[in-house]
Amino acid sequence: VSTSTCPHARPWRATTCLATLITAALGLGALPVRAQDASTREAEIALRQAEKAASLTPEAPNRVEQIVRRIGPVVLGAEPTGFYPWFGSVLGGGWMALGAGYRATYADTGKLNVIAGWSLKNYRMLQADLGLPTFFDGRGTLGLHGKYLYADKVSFYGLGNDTQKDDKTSYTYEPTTFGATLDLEPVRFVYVGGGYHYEGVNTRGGESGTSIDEAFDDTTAPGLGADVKYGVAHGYAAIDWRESPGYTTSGGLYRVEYRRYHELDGQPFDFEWTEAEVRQFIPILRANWVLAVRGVVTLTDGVGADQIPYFMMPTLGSSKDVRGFSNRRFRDTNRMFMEAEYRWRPSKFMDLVVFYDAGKVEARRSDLDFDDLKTSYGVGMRLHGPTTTPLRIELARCTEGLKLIFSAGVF
Amino acid sequence: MRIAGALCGCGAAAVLALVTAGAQMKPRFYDDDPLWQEPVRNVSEMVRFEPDLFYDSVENIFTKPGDKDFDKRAENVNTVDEVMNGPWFTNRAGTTPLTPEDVARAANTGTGPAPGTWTVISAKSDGVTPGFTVRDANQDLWFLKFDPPGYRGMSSGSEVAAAKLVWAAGYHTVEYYVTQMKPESLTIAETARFTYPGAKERKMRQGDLRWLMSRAQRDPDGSFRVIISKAAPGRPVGRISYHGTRSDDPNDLVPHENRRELRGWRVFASWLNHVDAKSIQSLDALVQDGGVSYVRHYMLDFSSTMGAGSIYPRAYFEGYEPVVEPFGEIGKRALSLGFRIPRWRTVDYDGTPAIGRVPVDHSDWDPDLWFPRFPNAAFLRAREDDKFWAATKLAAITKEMIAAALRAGQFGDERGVAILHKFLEDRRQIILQKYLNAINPVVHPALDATGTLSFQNAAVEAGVGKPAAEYKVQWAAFDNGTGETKPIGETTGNERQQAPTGVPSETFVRVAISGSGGGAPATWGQPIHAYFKRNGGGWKLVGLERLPHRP
Repeated sequence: VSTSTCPHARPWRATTCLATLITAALGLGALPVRAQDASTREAEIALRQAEKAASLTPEAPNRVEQIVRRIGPVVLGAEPTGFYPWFGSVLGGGWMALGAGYRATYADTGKLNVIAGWSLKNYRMLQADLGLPTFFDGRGTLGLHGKYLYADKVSFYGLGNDTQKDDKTSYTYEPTTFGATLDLEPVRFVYVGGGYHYEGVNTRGGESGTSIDEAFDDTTAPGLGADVKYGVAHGYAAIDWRESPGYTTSGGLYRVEYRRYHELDGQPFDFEWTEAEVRQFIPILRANWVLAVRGVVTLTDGVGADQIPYFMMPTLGSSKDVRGFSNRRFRDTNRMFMEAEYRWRPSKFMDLVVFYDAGKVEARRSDLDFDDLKTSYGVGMRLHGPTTTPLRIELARCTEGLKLIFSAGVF
Repeated sequence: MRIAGALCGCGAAAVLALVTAGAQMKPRFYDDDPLWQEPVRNVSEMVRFEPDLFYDSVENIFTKPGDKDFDKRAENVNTVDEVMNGPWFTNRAGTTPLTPEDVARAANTGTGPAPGTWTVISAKSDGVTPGFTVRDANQDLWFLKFDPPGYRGMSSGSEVAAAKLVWAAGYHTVEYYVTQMKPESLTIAETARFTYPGAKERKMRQGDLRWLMSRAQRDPDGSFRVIISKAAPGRPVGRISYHGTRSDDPNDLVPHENRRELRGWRVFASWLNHVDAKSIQSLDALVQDGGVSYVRHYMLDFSSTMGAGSIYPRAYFEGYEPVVEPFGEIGKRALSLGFRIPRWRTVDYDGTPAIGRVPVDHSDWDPDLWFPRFPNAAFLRAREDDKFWAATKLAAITKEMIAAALRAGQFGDERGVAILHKFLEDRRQIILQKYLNAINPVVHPALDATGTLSFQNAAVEAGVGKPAAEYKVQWAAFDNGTGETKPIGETTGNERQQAPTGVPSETFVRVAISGSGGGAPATWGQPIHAYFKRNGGGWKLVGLERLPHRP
């Protein structure tokens, strides 16, 4: 018996081994033909194509791309439709709120948006906005709005510009509003509008620290303990040539707004509310820097001898006016404040800023001067897109300490 | 018998060894090298795949997709370092005779859509400019776009002019025409659907056309100047990805980031300031050609080129830095309180409403510091030889061809056209100066039957380099099977040199050519390798390596 390597261990025959050799050679031929076996360049490429053709798969997004495709529109600012998670602010000073929203569109430009939110400070909000389809070539809108808010730890320090931080009390603020607003843009950059809404406000003592009714009475806090029901007629006119309301490096906003609050149950709380605002943005060196200034004056007048309830008065102190102070740190019937910012733009998506704010509240209009202004200053960073500012982080300092601000939007 | 059996086994093993060895002994050059036509295999099944713009942007900003080797030679070039004609590219400028009239015509095969009513079958409402897809009386499909209000000619003219130049460079483009359109020449197809931004899709109405056209530049007589492009032949199946390959295309063998023409596209994009050179601005179409069905790759949408930024004049930063700046740069600018000022904020611009805006002066412009809006995987891997290749094409696009392309744009603004002409001329000159001198620019080596080697210098030919004092040529016999070389001799002289004794007896010869002295920069001292194969009585160029030390 042969022990040779011949695969067929049989008595040797020339024909047998020749067949073996041929088989070996043919066996190689049966192996997959590889590109390097080609004898011409064209054949080599054809073989590589044939190799790939044997394992083609349809083009499709991978797992990561599938996820990014889903979240992309939201990141880019597209408004989601259907149910969506919501986060934001229920009321200034109420800390971050989470909730759910539902948005629907109809007739191209009609929109419905309902939001329910609950803040970390136990403030609650239910809000619905119905925008009817636009008209006047898209330059006219009619909106219906409704909102319920419950906030039981709203700060009150007394009236005037000289209240003490230690006099802080709290009250419960529970307004319900619904109404309609008409907005028109008759010519480019010019906006006018107005409307009517019902605003009912229930108030009582607060749930944080000293309650307002333990430290104040209705002479030091007009309207203390009152529940009011207002019919509010309002109108405004504005010239707005900013690039976008949510973010701009140039242009300006000049706005005047008037509101007439009529107490529907005949309580002596009728008043007029007027506010004027100027914002100006000065780009320097193709907006490498932007100087931004803002001034706001808010005036209220009781109708006849009527008073203005403390919870309807203008306030000072928040991330949107004099930033170093706590929310609603000062309040009175009249207010003014100014903000100035030096912004520099290291990226097209991030601005850095040094700011200075000043303002005051006064019972008498004639006292709205530049004496005894409450001031704050600080630094900040904004992450923004071309038209929105989703995140604003600022560190503000004032006579009452440091304040770290996380917010959205920018003036 | 035992011996015979052993012999049998050894014989089989020997056959195996021989055949295997033969398989591994792949020759460097085949008989059909260099190949000038890219072979294609018939493609029968293919579904359309549209990349996601947001994902494409995020992927390219935050990752570096594609080959991890950023210094790899382009993998789709033929053996003489050129791109083959085929699905991706057609050699035109510098390869075939091209006249300004050819460039003005470019891909156009007629005079535009058939006159009469155009039927709108869909509309683009979510893009930056309104647009319609229409069918003409001949049932041909066209895409129609407008100029933005206040900028008559800017987007449409720029797109047409750029498309002509891109075609001249060798890329596949579609047919583009500028024409005048009256709103009443549009009707809406019964099946046309429309989606208002943020709303649901629905049947298209007449008011939708009015609304879309209200966002466009309208002429005093109520008509619109429009750019109309013909749908590419075949069936759209997707876009060009600038990295990887299509998994459903057997002809797509080379990762796109390693394709010469896509790397070289960077040079043309920088020339034209085509800052929007990304996947979405292209098209893959399954075409029938010569009885074979294959994917042809088109470059599209040049409305953000030269002075135009599609709906606005070019943004100041465009071309100078990407949309998202490098993070290190952001940090430095942040710490500087704004006093680290990017170049684009101080560059002087010139322009008109018809052309947008372009920098006045390009004397300090550096094409290597040009950026598209978003990183591009192929651009990031463009080496000196890729840029050189593109620059040789650009060198063949003459001043007259540029003028012809700009005329085709019908900007209707003489001053604006003059500005654009200067813009393109200035940048072209800088690109040639830089990329034709960045490596050894010896081109067109030839060895004739008498043993005379001749070649040219692309930089000198283009007028951006001064001749070298002398060229050194190292001659070597080349073994096509093993790749080994055996020195034959060395000659020096000008662009014509006689081969040393010994060369005629060889089948393959490799010459290493370098230049020095005179106007030769140091980069010319790095030799290129040219390979010649005996071809009857003469020699045929079969191989060329421009950067042999960086394979």
